[in-house]
Amino acid sequence: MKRRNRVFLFAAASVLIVSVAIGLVAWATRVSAAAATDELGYVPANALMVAYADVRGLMNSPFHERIRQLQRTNPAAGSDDLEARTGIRFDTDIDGVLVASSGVDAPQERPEGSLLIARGRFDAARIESVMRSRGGQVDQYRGKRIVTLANAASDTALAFAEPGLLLFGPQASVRGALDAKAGAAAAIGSNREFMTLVNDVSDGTAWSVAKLDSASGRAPFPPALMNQLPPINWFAASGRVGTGLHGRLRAEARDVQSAESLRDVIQGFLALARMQGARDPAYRSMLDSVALTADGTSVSLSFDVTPAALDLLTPSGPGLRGPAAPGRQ
Amino acid sequence: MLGKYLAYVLCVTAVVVPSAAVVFVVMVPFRDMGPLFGAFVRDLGVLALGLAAYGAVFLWAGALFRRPLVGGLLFVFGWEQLAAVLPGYVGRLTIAHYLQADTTSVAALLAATIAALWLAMRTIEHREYLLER
Repeated sequence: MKRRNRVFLFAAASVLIVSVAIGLVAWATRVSAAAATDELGYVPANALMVAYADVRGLMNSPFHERIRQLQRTNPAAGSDDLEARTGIRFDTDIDGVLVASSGVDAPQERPEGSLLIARGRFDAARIESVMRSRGGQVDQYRGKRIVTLANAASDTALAFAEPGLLLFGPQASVRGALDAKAGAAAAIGSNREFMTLVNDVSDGTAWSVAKLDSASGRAPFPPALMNQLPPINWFAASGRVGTGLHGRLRAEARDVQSAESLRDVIQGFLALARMQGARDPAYRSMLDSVALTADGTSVSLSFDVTPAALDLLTPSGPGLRGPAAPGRQ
Repeated sequence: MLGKYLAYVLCVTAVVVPSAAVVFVVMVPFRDMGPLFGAFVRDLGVLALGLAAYGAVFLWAGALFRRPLVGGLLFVFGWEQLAAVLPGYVGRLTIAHYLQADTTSVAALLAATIAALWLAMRTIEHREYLLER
């Protein structure tokens, strides 16, 4: 082999090795479920849906500012209920929040409410006094302090599980979470299928994994919606927020045929949406970014909401665009 | 002939695969590389297999046709494009079908490569060649 050929092959191999090494470093240092790993230890194994949001990341993102502009004309009630009952201010006290919705073992049982696991900076004395003023009772469970608020209207509890970590939700859910952490009950981490999906979506600023369980009919979504779709066992969603939003939805169908049917259904909806939104540049750019793929029983859909699309969605009234303009890229 | 084919695979892989890798590194933000790394490595592998499969098919065309360039162009820009849009299972008779993300088949690509190489060798074995003096 001539020297020139050897040099060429060596250079090509070097470029390939360096590129793969960069990708390997990115893979090894990727943001994983680590941010929510501790919180997942509190989620019981019978959870049907788990959702996580990096609240600090969301609040500090330029995207959030744009959304706030959109909501100014129509402010929605969000965390008022939590603040009214506990004194916790969602947007300032909480760094990250994980919500788990548990299922029931038998169809006739009533499902429990959602468990909220929040990490942040909490004034325990103030929160406890707010709950006491509303009739809350302080109790100890598995060595943790629990404030329960049981009356005809609600049966909620709040526990300071660790410094900077609190559990809030129905009393049974909070106690179940402490049981799971103590090892007295199985935690969701033992569910390998669930954790595989969590690791797949956990790079997002916010993500969610839901077990739809088409076989038993248990699902966290309304039956009216589920009846319109092919059998799906798992659903995962993630969103990465920056100046815009990159979203990814993934569904694990019961079998390959169901996955193909689901892909056809989504393609139909996308075609309809393209017809409806063809004249609107904001929706058109979003629809153009949509990528739909199917691999075995898995169907994935990704999309981007660019800052330009948000500009077009933002009402053009006076004073609405001003504050966010410097943050735009 | 097998030596020529291996030389082709080596040369074309050394050009195309590192180029694709560089495009990935340049175009994809670092924070997005982690989740995409698996698909990236898989795509590099599929790319190399695709090069090997197309190379084997064109080697066979080179051995079979008097003017292989015309046949090759017709195959790539005619048959592969036409079959991809035809309904039914016709698309499965193309190599491109097995390179697509949702229908990738390593076994089909390897089978196409081996079959085309065997046919090329068989064609050469049964053909008479006049050597110029």
